[in-house]
Amino acid sequence: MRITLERLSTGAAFFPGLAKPVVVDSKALSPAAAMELEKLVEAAKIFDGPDADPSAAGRPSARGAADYEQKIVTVERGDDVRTVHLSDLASKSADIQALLNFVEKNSKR
Amino acid sequence: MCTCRHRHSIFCVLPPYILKSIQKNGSKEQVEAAINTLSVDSTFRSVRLNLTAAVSPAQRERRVLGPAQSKQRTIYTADNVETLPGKAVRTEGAGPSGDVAVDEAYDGLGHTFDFFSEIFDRNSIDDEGMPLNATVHYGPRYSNAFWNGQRMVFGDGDGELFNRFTIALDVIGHELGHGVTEDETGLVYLFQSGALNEHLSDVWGSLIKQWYLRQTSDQADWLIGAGLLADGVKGQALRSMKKPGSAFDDPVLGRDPQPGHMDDYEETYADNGGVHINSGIPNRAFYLAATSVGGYAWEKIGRVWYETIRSKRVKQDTKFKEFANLTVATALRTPGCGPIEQKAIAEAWAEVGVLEKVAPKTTRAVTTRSSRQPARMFEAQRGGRDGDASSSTSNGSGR
Repeated sequence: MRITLERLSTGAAFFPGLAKPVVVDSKALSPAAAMELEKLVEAAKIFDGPDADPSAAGRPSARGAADYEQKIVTVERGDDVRTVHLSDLASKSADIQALLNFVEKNSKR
Repeated sequence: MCTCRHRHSIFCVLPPYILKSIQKNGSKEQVEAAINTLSVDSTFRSVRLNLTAAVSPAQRERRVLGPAQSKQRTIYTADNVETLPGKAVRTEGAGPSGDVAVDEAYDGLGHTFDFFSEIFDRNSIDDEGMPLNATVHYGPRYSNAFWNGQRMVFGDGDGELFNRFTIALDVIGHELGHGVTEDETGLVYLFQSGALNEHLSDVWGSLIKQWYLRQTSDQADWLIGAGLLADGVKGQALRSMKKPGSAFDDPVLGRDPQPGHMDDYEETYADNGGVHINSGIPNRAFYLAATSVGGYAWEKIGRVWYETIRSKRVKQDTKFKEFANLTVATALRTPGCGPIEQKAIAEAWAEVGVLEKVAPKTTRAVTTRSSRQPARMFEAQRGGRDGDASSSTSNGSGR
């Protein structure tokens, strides 16, 4: 399994270093960490959840909103690929947050 | 959150004309996605346009006849989860809470309110006494501050790259300033209009800090977010209005990408079309004008900028050249300003390559706007350096 986290915007300023995509590949993880990653992806319902409106990520932001972060998470499991769009303007589930934390902690730029 | 099958990430910020091209030339899957996007996108854009037009003269009248100006602050804590608004922990008139972030937010909102009230006679964000709400301790190690259209939200930072975001008064002023800009102009948060939106928030944030510290333009540091970067980070702030591109150069954060001249304007889809990148250009123009005139920046050049956004001539899709011309024109009708300030402003815009280097006329610049049909608005909006066909002055760069 391979997870890519990309920041489309980095909040109140643009930091090129933080905008670079980061990648976690389960092949590079310890067996225990790879298993944890599998569980986190399952819990976050990345593949099991219903397909959402593919245009949602392109919708205008909340009126007048500014400086919010936007992220794209791409999960590749074999031939199956799924993308999740995250924004500060919509609340994230605890499971998604846990997955993000894992990716941040274990990723390589 | 939305989940979907894989697609290219730039779908998130694609302007309509590219979507239409995909509609013509893409694969079946791409065509379906593009049609869907265009449909939803158009709907939301129409809704937004209608909402903006809904501010009636009567509503504007109420602002004049409205209640006396008084602060109504409420600070909430999210207790380090991503939930809004969180729990109210300090309300207007209550004493210090002992929580540094809570008290910094409370004081920062107060200074911001007082600045707009005392200097511009503005009654809060909407000039109608809108309560000021902020949430602190947002998320775990959340390293950002943002304006969600209704409230300010501040993270504590991760302690490694960023300190708490309430530490900088100008950042608090910046976030609240987005509310003012939205109320007066509705500048769309994309490409050049988005960079102007960011620029205006930097202006308000910097002026609030200068006003609080009673600094003249030559005494001010013109930094945005000084103190925000943690110890060990190679940088001094988020941005520099004086010298865009010099605020940080760090192995992890990267190098400050802000240009200070139109020659270096960055065409990008990242960062909502470079809103935090290309804002360096108008930021530097403001700095140059303010330091050329001298004294307190909020008294003259700041006042011109405020009168410009109040003029109702700054629209959702206004870009650099048109905004520059509006500030030049507004200088002559701004109390306390005249040909000297107008010349300083025109020269500043020329110095950063937005206007031509010509002797400014002391008569009001004429700015005519072309048709603002929604269908073409966002296509022109993307237009980077070329997009402004409505300006009476060209920078000659072919943009």
